[in-house]
Amino acid sequence: MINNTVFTVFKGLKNIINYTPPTTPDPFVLDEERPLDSNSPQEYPDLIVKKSAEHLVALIRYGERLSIYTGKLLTALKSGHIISNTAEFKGELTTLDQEWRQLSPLLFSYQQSQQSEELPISTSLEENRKMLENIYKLPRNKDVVIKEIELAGTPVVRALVIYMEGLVDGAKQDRFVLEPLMIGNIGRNSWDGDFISCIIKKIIPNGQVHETTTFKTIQEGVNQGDTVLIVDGIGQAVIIETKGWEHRAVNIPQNEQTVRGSQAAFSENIRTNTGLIRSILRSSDLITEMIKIGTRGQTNCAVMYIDSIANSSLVTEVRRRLNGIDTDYIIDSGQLVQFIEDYPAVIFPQTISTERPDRVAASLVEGRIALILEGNPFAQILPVDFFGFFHSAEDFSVKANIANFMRILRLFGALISTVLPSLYLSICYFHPEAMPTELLMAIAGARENVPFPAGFEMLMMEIVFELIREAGTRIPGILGSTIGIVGAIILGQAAVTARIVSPIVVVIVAVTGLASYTIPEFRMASAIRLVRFGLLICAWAMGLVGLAIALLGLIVILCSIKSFGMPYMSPVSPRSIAGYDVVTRGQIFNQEWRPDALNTKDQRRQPTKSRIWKGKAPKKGGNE
Amino acid sequence: MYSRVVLLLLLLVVSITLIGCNGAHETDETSWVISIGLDKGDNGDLVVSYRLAVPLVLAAGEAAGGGKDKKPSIIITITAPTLAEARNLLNVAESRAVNLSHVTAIVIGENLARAGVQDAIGALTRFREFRGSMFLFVCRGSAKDMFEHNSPQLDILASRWVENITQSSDETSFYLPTNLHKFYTQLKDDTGSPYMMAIAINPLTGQNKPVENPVVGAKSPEYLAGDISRKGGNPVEPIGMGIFKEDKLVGYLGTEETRAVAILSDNYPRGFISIDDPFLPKHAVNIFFRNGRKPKIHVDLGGETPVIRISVFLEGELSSIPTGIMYESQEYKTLLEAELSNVIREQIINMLIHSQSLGVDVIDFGYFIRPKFSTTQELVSYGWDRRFRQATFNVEVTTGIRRTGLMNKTSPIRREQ
Amino acid sequence: MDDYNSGRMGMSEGIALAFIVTFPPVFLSHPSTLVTSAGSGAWLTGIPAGFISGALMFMMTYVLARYPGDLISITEQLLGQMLAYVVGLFYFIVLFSFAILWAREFAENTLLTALPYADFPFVVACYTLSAGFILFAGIENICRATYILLPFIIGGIAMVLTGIVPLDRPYNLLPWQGNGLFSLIKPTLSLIGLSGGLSILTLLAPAFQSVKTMKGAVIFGYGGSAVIRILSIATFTMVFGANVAKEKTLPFYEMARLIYINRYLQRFEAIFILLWVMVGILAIAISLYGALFITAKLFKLPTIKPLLPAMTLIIAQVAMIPPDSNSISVIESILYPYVFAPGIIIIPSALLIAVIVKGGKKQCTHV
Repeated sequence: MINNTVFTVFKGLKNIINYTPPTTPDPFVLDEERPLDSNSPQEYPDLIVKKSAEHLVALIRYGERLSIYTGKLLTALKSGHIISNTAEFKGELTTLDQEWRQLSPLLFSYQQSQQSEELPISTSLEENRKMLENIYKLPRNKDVVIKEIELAGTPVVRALVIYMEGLVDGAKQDRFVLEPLMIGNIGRNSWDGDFISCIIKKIIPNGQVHETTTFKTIQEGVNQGDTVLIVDGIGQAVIIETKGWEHRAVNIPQNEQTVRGSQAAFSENIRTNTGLIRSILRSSDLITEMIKIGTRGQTNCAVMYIDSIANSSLVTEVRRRLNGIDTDYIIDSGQLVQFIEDYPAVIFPQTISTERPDRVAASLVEGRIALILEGNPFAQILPVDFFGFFHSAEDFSVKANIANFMRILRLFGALISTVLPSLYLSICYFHPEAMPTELLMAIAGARENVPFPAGFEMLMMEIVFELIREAGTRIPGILGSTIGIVGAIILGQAAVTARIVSPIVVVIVAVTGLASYTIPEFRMASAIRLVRFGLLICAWAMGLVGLAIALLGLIVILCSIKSFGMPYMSPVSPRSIAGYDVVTRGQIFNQEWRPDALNTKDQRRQPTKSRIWKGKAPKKGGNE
Repeated sequence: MYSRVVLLLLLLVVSITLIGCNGAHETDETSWVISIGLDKGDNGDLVVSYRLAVPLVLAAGEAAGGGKDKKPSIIITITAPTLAEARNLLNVAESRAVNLSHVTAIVIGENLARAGVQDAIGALTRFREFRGSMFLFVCRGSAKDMFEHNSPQLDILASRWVENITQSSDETSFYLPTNLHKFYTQLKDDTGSPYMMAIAINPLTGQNKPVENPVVGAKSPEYLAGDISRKGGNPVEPIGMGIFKEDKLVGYLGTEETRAVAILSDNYPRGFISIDDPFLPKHAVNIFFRNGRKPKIHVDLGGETPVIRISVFLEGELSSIPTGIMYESQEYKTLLEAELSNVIREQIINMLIHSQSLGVDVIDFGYFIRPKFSTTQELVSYGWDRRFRQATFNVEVTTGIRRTGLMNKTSPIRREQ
Repeated sequence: MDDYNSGRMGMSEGIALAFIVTFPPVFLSHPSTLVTSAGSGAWLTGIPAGFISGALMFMMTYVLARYPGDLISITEQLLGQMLAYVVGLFYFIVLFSFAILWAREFAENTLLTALPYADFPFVVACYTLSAGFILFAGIENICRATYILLPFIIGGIAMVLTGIVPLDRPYNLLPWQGNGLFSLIKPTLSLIGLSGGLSILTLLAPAFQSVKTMKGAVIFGYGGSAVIRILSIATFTMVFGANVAKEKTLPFYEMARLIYINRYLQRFEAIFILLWVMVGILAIAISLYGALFITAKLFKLPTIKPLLPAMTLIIAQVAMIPPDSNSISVIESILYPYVFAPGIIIIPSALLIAVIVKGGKKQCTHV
C-alpha cells in the first residue's frame, strides 16, 4: 500500500468501522457425554483384548505369589524346619489352590462379566484390594481409606481394613477394630474351623459385627460408616459397626414454636429422631422400618407406626410405594412425599410435615404413619385430612375452649386470606350498592386520583406483598425484619401519598397477608396463596358469579382428592365419626375414638369414663 | 394430555378476555345519584331533578376536600317525557355513567301526585337499579325547589339526612316513612290505600299556620308540612303524610293525624304530649306516652255497613306537672288518664273522619277482614273500598300512667302571703 | 354391575343430593308462578305435594328393598324390557329438561341481577361448562361438595327469611283457599313434577348402603327442601301480598333486596349471588349426570365420560333456543304439571303394583 494520506485515512476509518471483538476462550457448554470424543485415548481398543490383558495381569500377580511361596518352601526345606511348619504351609497351599481355581479362564471371564457388586470376595488380598480400588476410584477418591494391617500372633496374617473417612468414629474404630486385632494374640493355627467366626465371636468386642461374602455388602457397610476387615486367604469379610459422624444437637423448633408445649425438635440424624419419638412412646408395638431410597444416595427412610393400631393395608401400601421409587437420590422429605403421593399435581399438601416429635407421637397414636428421611429434620405424617392442617401443637397443651377459639380464628383467617381481595373487587366493580353510601364515597373519592383500575391495583399490591415476603426470607439475618417493616409500611404509605394506590387496597392487602400467616402449616399457606390469585382473576372477570364458580370448583377438587386412601375432607364430607378433634377440640377426657376414616385396628382410645377419680368420693386423712 | 389441558385453559382465558369486562365500571367512571325528584312539566313531560354525589369532596384521607367551598352534591334538572329518557339525557349532562343503585329518596311533586303517579311508578319496580327500600316523599310544592333548598345543617350528604330522618321518625311519629315496597303493595293490594311522607319548605320566618284549633284538652294544634313556626335549621321539613286514592294524591294528614295513624298501626314507640291540667286548664301537663299493647281492631261485617271497633291502650310517664297537684296519687291519676284518653280519642276520630271522607283507608282496616273469607274472589266481590265509606267506628282509648319521672310529689313554690 | 362412577354414597350424600336437585325453583320464578295460579293459598300447595312425592319415593324404596338394582334394571325385571325403555326415556326427558331449563333460567337470573351487561351466550356457556367440568370429578364428590355447602345455603336462606320479618304481614296468607280450591290443584301437580329429580336417588340405588339410607335421604333432604320452599313461598306471600307477588320475576332476589335493618345493614343481596350460582351449577350438574346415566344404561355403554362434552354442548345450545323469558314460563307451566307429574305418579305406583302382584321377599343385604 502506498503510504498516502488518503490511504492512511482510509485505513483509520476501516479500523474504526470494522470492529473485531477481543478473542476470549470458548465458554463452558454443558454438553452430553460423548465417549468417542473424550480426550484420553482408549487404553484398550477392544473389550475382549482388555479382558485378556487383565487376565494376564492377574496371572502374573499369581505367579509372583507362587514364586514367593516356593521360595519360602525351599528355605524351610533347606533349613529343615518343614515339619514344624507343615500346618502353616498346608494352609497356604490350600489358599493358593483356591486362588488358582479362581483364576481359571472360564470362571474369570464369568466373574468379569458380572457387575462388580455381585462378585464374591476373592481369597487373594491383592485381588480384593484391586477390586476395591476399582469400585471406589482410588486414588482419586480421598475419602475411602484402605489400610493393610497384620494380625497379631503367629503366623503373621495380613488383612485389609477399609473405612470411609468422615463417617467413622475414630475412637470406636481404634478400640473395637484395630486394638483387638493388632494387639493381643491371634494365632491362626490355634483354632480349627472358621477363622472368621472366631474373629466375630471372640476377638472383636463390638455388638454389631457380621460377615459377608459379596462386594455389594462391603460397599453398603463402608458407605454407612462401618469398618470392613478382609483377611488374606479367606473369601469372607467382616463388617464392624463404627458409625459416628458430626451432627447438630437437639434444638428448639424453628417453625412451630409453642408457648406451652415441649421444645424439642428433630435434627438431621435419623437415629436421634427415631430416638426422640421412642422416648415419648415407650411401646413395644412401635415399629421402625428402614427402607433405603435412591440407587446412588442410599438414604435411609424410617417408617414408624404402631403395629396394633395402624391399618396393615396402609402400612403395606406405604412400603410398596417407597420400595417402588427408582431414582438417583432424594435429599429432602418433601421430595420423597412428592414421589409417593396420589395427586402431585394438586397444590394442596397431602401430608403434614412437622419438626416436633410430640406432634408425630400424637399422630402415631391416632393411627397414622410417620416417614423420617435421613438428613432432613422434617417428618412427614400420612394420611391426613384437610382440617389437620389447621391444628397446631399449642392446641394440645391449653384448655379446650381456648384452643377452639384459636382454631376458629385460624379458619377464619384462612377464609379471609383467600376471599377478601376477590370480594372487594367484585363488590367494587359489579355490586357497589352493597357498600354503605359513605364508605362508597370515601373509596370512590380516594380512587379519583389513582390512575390505575381497581383490579390492576389490587394485583400489583398483591405481587408487591409477595415480593416483600419472598425477599424477607433471603435477606441475611439482622436486616431481614427491618427490610420487611420498611417494605411493608413505608412503601405502602409512600405509594398512597404518591397516589399510585388507594389506601383501602393497602389495608386489604395487609389484612390478607396477615391472615395468611395464621395457618400453621407452611405448605398449606402457600397453596392458599396461589388459590387467592386464581380467585382474584375470576372475580375480576365475572364478579361474584366468577367467584362462586371458582369456589365451587375448589370445593369439588378438595372433595375429590385423597391422601393415601383417606378422603381429604373427611370427616365432614364422607361423614364419619369425628372424634371431637376436627374443627374444634372437645375436652380431652371426651376424645374416646380415633378418627374413623383411618380404619385403625383399635377404634377406641379411652373408655367413656376417663376420669375415674371423679366417680369416687375423695378420701380424708393422711397417707394411705 | 397436558397439551389438551393447556389448550383448554388458553381457550378459557381467550374467551374471557375477549368478552370484555362484563359491564364492570370503575368507581371513578360512575356518577352516583342519591335522590331523584319528579315534577309535572308542560305537555305531559316530566321534570326530573337528580342529586349527584361528588366523591372528591367526601373522600377519605388526604385526597379529601377539593376546596373548602365545594359542595358535596350537585343538582341537575332535566325535562323529558319519561324517567328513561331523562336518564339518557343525564348521561349527556355529566361526564360519567349513571348508577342509580344508591338512590335513597324519590320526591314526587304535588302537581304530579295529584295528576297520578301511575306513569312514573311503572319504571320504579321493573328496572333493576331501583329497589323497594327506597323512601318515597311527596312534597307540597315542586320537588325541584325542595332539592335546591335542602341544606341539612348536621349531615354532610343528603342521603345521610334521609336515612337519619326516617330512622328518627320513631321519636314523635309526626311523620311515617314509607318505602317504595310499602307504597307499591298497598297500591295493588285488595284493600288499603297507599301514603307517602310529606315534606315542604318552611319559610323560616316564624309564622304560625296551624290547620285548626287544638282539640279540647290538647295544647298544641295540628300542622301540615311547612307550616310550623320556626327560624333556623333545614328549610325542608318532613311532617305528616300525603294520602293517595288509587294513584292520585287526595289530601294531607298533619302532625296529630299522623300520630293517630301510627298509634293504630302499632308503630308508636314514644312521644310527648302536653294536655290541659284537669284542675287548672291554663297550665299544661306533659306526658311521655307510648302504645302499651297492640291496639285491638275488630271489624264486624254483619249487616250492610261494617262496624269497626278499636281499642287502644296507652302507657304514659309523667314528665312535667307545673301546678304541683298530686297527680301521682291514685285518685288524681285517673283524672289525668281520662284527660289523655279523651285527647287521643278525639284526635283518632278526627283522623278517621278525615280519611273516611276522602274514601281512603289509610290504616288498612281491610287487612283484618281477610280471615272472614275463604277465597280471594269473595274478598274482592265484597267491595271493601265502597263499604268503608259507610263504616262506623267505635274508638276506645284507655291510658295507664306507670311512672312519675324523677319526682314523686311536688312541693309548692313559697309565695309571699 | 356397571358402575358409571357412582362410588359409594352414605346418608349425608343422599341428603345433599335430594336437597339440591329439588331446591333450585326457590331461587327462580317458580314461587311467583304458584302465586299466579293459586293466589294467597300458594304456600299450602307445598304440603300435599311434599307428602305425595315423599310417599312415591317410599313406594320406590319398598320396591328396591325387594328387588335390588337400579331403576332401569328393576323395571326390566318387573315390567319387561319395552316398558323399561319407556321409563328410562321418560326420566331422561325429565332430568335433561331440568338441566336445560335451569341452565337457561339461571343464566337469565344472572343477566337480570348480577351481570346485567354480560353476553348472554357467554353466561349460558359459563354455567353449562362449569357443570360439565365438575362432573369430571364424579357424582360422589359433587354430593360431598354439596353436603359441605348445605349449611351455608340453609343459613343464607334463613338469613333472608328472618331479615325480612319486619315487613311480614301475616294476614296476607289469607284467604287460605286463595283463588279457590280447584286453583290449588295445578300448583300441586307442578310441585310434584319438580320433584322428578329425586329419581336420581333410585338410579344410584346400588351406591347407597341400604334402603334405610335412601329413606333417610328422602325424609331429611327432600323434606328439608320442601319445608324451606313452603316457608319461602309463605314469606314471599306475606311480604308482598298476592297481587304484587304474581308480578315478580325473581322472588328470592326481591326479598333479599328489601332487607333494611339499619343504615349499614342494607342492600346486601349481592352476597346471596354466591349461594344461588353454586346451587344452580350443582343442580345442573347432577341432573346432567342422571341423564347421562340413563343414556348409558339404555344403550348399554361401558362408561359415561365420553358423552359428557357432547351433552354439555347440547344443553348449552338448547338452552338458548327459547326466544324470550316468557316462553320459558309457558313451557314450564305445561311441562311440570301435565307431562312430568303424571309420569312421576304412575311409574312408582306401577312398580309397586307389580311387586305386590309378583311377590318378593325383603332382602337384608345392601341394595
